Amino acid sequence: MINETRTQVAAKPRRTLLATKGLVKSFGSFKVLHGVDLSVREGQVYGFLGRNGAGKTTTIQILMGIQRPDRGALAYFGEQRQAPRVADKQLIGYVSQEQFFYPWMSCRNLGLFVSRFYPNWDMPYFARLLDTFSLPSKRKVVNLSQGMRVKLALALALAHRPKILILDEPTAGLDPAARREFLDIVNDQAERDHRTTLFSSHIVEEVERIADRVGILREGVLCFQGSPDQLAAEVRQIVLQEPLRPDATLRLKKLRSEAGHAGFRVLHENPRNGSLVMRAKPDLWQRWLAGRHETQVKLSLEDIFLALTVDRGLRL
Amino acid sequence: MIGLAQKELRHHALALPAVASGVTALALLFFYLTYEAANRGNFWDRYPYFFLMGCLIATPYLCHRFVSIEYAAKTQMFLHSLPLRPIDIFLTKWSMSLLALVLCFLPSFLLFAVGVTWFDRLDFSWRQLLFVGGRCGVFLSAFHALNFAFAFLGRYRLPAYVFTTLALILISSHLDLDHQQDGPLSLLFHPRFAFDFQNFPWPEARMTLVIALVFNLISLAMALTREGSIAGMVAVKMTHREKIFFTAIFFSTVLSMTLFEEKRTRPPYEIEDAVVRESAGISIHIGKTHSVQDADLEQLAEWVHGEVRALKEYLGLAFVPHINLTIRQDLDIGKFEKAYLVGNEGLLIKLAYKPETWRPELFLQWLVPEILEDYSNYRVYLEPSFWVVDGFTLWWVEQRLEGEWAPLFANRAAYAVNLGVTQADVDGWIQFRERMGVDLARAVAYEGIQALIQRTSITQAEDLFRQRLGLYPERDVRAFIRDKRFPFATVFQDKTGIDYASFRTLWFQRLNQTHQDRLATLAALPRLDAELEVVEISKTTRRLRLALKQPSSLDGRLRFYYLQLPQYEWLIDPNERKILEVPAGRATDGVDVGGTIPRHTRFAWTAAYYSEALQCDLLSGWRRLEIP
Repeated sequence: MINETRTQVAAKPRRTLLATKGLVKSFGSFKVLHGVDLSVREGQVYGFLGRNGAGKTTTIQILMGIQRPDRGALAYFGEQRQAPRVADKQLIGYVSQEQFFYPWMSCRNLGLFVSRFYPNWDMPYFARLLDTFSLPSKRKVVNLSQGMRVKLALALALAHRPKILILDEPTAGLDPAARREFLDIVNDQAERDHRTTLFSSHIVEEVERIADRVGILREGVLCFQGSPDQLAAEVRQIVLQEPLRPDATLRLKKLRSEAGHAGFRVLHENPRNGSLVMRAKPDLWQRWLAGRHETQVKLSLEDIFLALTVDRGLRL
Repeated sequence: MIGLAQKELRHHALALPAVASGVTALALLFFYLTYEAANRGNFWDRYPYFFLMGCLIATPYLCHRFVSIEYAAKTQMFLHSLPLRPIDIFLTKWSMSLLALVLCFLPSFLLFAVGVTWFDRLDFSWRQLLFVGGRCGVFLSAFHALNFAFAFLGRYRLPAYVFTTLALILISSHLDLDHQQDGPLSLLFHPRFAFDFQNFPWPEARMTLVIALVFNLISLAMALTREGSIAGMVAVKMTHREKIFFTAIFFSTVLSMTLFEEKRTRPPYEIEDAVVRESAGISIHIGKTHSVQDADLEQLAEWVHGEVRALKEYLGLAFVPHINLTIRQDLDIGKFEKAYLVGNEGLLIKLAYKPETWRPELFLQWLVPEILEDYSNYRVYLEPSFWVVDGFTLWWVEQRLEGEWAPLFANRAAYAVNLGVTQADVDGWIQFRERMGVDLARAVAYEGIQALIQRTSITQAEDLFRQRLGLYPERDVRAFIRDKRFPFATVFQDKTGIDYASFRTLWFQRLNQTHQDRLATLAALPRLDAELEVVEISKTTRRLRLALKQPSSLDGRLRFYYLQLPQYEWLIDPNERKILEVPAGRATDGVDVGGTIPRHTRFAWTAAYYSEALQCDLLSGWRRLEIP
């Protein structure tokens, strides 16, 4: 159902709303981002995946102007910028990983405070969002649970009807029920308003539920950017025939060598079940698989994510 | 920015009125104290003290509220995520905190302005308000800038504040800066703050504004620093380890500063156009004057040099200060004044000198303790052994100068015994000295030295002198530790072989014997008793009248010494005392202390009569009281 909706949206001609080019950022001697090229097009729900410490939050904070990149270019709504301008940020809704609201403000007062900075702020809509999210408007932030604070952040991010919604691991720290509720809200928003959304997470299941395009960040390098189907077409698992035969190890080694020579990148090797996880362009896969006897196994997004971001010690 | 400003007002809705009320309450207190104070100038006179105290309380707190709390709660992350320019956030907070400060001080400013106009009856003028307000405003802007910058340092702001203060103290001390004349503090504490409405201190104001600009730029740089940097890191509370670390560093710094200050050597002061006698590490300069021939000055220089050299060699002093004498014939003969030297070491002594009236014994009695005081860094005046330097001084005069000194000193000691000397006086020598007068106290101590020599030997007494007066005290905490490790009683026993308590018994036996032997002489000497009469003029003012009670008949002239003691001061400064001199015969009738004295003034007084027989002042004894 979700994927069908995405397909319809994907058919439209779309412009790039948010882009980075060669983004580099270091904290002292530790280089966090190594030239990230990211692009989010209009109407897309972009799942920004990466392990903890991969650089997702840093990228998003640079996009929000909270941090400044060492090198690289940013583009907002097709315009090149050093950092987002006030006018750009007025078109972006942002939910950060942690919510640092003024604890003494009530939900409604927080909305009133934030409303002064957005010309398109829709107070009745904000009130409706609070109502929809079951947030008592008069309750102070200090008395809200973590899940309620995240929903409040989302209400604040949506109330000015932004062109882009940026969510930086918003579900971290939420219990499964709250997480599911939050994702449903985001999903509804994306479907109903075709709102462009950049959703960062290290939980693949979340992204898989709502994203029609994913970017996978590994140690500051964007190692994949495209649709989940495209990703599944590129990364596949090959299993030997009769993998328990005594010569399985030799055959796996030979297979690996052949794949390497053919231009495949072997991401993962598992001698126990005689399998290789490899990456190549879909047409190369097609050519190479023709006439071969090995079994091809379709991997889940989570398996692909793990194969792309974890070096060893995994059983795929 | 309006939205931000409204948020700040709501955020600090309780704190701002509370600070304003606190500052105003402090202003009212100062206003009242100024109103009640005696001998005050106009109301602006006390305003700087209130203003500085108010600044010290209100500014750090307001900057903490506007900046530190934001960083500690990390709510600045939320602000940065909104479509706001960081500089707008900075400007809002900066201007609002400054405005809040100005508003806090405005009522007090107006209150004191009313005080000046209403109670002091000074002509009101806008110029006056502009001058006072301008001085305070410029100072406030710099103080605000300093505190605003420190507020960005989060958990390190308090240590940074303390260390900056210490550094400023160190620098100003090293450079001997006068804060009343130069720098930002002079805007408030210049002696003409309350009176000069003609010349605005533009140089100081410019300097202060430049300082303010520097700190404001530092604040701006820190405010624009992105997250993930030091601004975010320092916002959390200090750990216990950091607290211990900073405490240790703080105390080390204070200790180092103390050591540095005490060990700091300054160039020696030397009078130009002087008669000079220099050798053996001793330097004597006597400023040339028309009133004394150079040959006489040469003779004086030679004598002083000889005496100082003898003292240095006898006690084994490592050095003696350079001695500079300035002849001031307007001073009393036998009275010597030490000038305070800024930025130089050495002694600058003012004295009257004519060869025909010169009394070397008086000068030597004055000079020896001054040299030992300088050499020991005031440690010779520590009470357990204070009497030693007093006794040694007279003993040294006796050794060095020809004359019948011993009977004179014995007579003085006998007179002192007649007034009453107890063992407790030896332990409370400073008070005893004050009660008896320096000359009589020294005579009592001299008897102690004689008793020691009589009981032991001159060699053992010399050992004690060298150990107590000639040992170079390290100008740091080691001197304190040594005094604690080797108490005087122990040192005394080590050097003389007598138990200190036994010696004191011997000393008092000798004193009593001296007294007994001189009863006839003492009978001819007056014993003074004086009284103070307080006359009520109004509810708050009094007139004072000093009168001699005993003896009823006395020849010559009698003096009353008196002074108003500053608050918290209990030592009587001889330079501050005032003198009323009357014919002794009329002293019983009493004499008015000029002017009126406010109630609750702390007042000290004594009657003094110069005895030719003892060649010193006899005192009725200093008495202190708070005027009822």
